[in-house]
Amino acid sequence: MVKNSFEKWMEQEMEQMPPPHVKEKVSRTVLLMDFIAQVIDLYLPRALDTFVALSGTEEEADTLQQKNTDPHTDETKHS
Amino acid sequence: MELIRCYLDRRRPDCFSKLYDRYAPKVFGKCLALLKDRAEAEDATQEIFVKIFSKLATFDERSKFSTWLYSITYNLCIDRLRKRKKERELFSDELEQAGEKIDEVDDRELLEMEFERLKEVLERIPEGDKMLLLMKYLDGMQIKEIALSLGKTESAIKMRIKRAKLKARRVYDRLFPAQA
Repeated sequence: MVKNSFEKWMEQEMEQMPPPHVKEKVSRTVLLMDFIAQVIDLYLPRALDTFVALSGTEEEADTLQQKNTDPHTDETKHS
Repeated sequence: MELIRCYLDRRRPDCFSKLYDRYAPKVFGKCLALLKDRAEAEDATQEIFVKIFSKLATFDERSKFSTWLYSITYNLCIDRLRKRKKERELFSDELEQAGEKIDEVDDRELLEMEFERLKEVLERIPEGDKMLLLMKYLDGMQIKEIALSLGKTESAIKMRIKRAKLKARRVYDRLFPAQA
């Protein structure tokens, strides 16, 4: 197949591997994101169960959970 | 697609590595060509791949993986360019008078140009125009895909490509008058 001028340019000059530290940083970030996702998947249902057990209803549990995860609702600052 | 499934199903580092190694040179090359700054192109490549791997599960296979990847690449580069030069416009149609008559430039004029000359021409046209020409003639994206990717209408993209080609031809004629 005959390559057009854009493809020739890409092949001969544009295409180049970024330095290794870019791959390392991407790899570390992706691993960290995977880890956080796994922790959330693993512990969120358990946390919800605990809240339900403590508060009695799922609605209250949701509110309680939101309070515990939202830094802006830290009531201790006002007391 | 096998590599993508392999990564999504098992999160295997070798699948990540293969995917990265296959596409990183193309992505980095595009970033470099558009941003013209090595350090910024490295940052952009990193950001693009983090985005790609975090959104991989949402890739719906309606388009080619490369088209999806390059759309993200171009959008990120254009965002960076817009931030960098708020005072300047990125597309010819933002610079030129509305209603100006635009001659149709034959695709072959660009596709058969010597690549060294093409490179020089593309260096001298607005970055947005350069990006559109790369999307169409390097990556073979359809007008519909470009429009979808950039959030514009198909007719707007057709017009922008037409203007970009004309701009490229004018620059070529100026740079290489004997060949015009």
